[in-house]
Amino acid sequence: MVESMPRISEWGLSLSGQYPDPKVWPSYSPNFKSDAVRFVRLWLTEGIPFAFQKFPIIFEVGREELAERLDISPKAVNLIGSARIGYSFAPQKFGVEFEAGKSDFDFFIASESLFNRLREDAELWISRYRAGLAIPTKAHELKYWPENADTLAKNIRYGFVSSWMLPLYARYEHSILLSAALTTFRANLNERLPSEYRVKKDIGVRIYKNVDTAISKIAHDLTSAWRMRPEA
Amino acid sequence: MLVSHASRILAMLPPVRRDIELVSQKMNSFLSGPAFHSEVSSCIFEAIIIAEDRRFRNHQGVDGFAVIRAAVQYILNGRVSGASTIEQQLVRTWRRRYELSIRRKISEIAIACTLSARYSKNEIVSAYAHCAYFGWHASGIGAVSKRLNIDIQSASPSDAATIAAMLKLPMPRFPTSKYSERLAIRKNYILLHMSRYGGKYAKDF
Repeated sequence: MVESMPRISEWGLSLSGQYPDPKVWPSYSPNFKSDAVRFVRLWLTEGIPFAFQKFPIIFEVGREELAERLDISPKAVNLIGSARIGYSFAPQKFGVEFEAGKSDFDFFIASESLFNRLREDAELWISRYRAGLAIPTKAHELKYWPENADTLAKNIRYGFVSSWMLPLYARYEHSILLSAALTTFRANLNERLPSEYRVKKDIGVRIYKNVDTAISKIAHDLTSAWRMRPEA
Repeated sequence: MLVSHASRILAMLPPVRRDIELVSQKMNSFLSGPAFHSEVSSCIFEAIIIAEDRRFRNHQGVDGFAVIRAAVQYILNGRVSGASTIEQQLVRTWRRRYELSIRRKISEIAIACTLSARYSKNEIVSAYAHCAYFGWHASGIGAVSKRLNIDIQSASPSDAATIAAMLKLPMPRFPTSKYSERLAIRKNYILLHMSRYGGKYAKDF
């Protein structure tokens, strides 16, 4: 009975409250992968996001509208990163506090149907680009398309696509719909939020094929970022 | 001429005769199906002919010149090069026999000659285009056009050359930049030859 009990790290036991103190992170042990997964599952995908502590219903209504536009469940829409927990998990600014009106809002969506729709768009674009049928003309296309084609292909194998890598042309209708839905999502949030809390930058979103893939990938990224944090 | 006579004799052998019936059944079923009657830009067929079998309209299922060239190359350099006509490739695809053997090759030639005698060149190239392998999720011209979002009714010579290039370089699910470079070289080669030998397509270049 005792032998089959799950192991919990000292770091795991030190986590408390809805937004655990960033000071707990020096004691994090990357060997305890299951604790990273638990952290992502409970703290990063459940509860009220840090950025919306004062207006949780605005977040809820916003994701409800976004979900309706994308024909998915509102539960599939999740906010992560500093807007979720109160400090950043990006390698170069690990532990840096969330700043209302300045920090990014990183979302992820866990939906197999949306993932499949966007995967089809991405695969069509990769095939056309590699066949010389989709030709980059704008400066940002010339700069990013070669890398995006490789990265999208790799990410599809891992079970996700990133919205900002998808080409916005009429041929890729699901990507266009997603982009329009995200623009409206941001506009609606900003309309309802006080000016100092508004979302300043475009919203980027990763779309995972399911919630388990999302949790496992985010936990992996979290551990990688922890290893690369400036004080490591 | 000699090959044609030999293939007629070979066609009388029971295993070859059986395969001739199989291929003929497939051909008849294709000709009575919707794929054959769907509209396909003729420049796609021309690109396939130029890419795979330039003397397609002038031989009877076996290209003697290509066979001699392949034999000379093998004797001089030990290099195995292609000499299969579109008829032979169609037979290979429908029979699903890909082993490297003289026996397979000889029976393939015999069946290809019979096919060439029974059906028109347009029917043969259309059948080949509709069943050939162009890559992942791209078996046949319908699937490849869907995968690349190309309208096969109004495909340009450039689109047609891209599709034809994929016969030699089947596109994987996630093509790399290296693949892209190789495909571009092949496509340009086909386009160049289409402009030289493509007759009515030459004006489009």
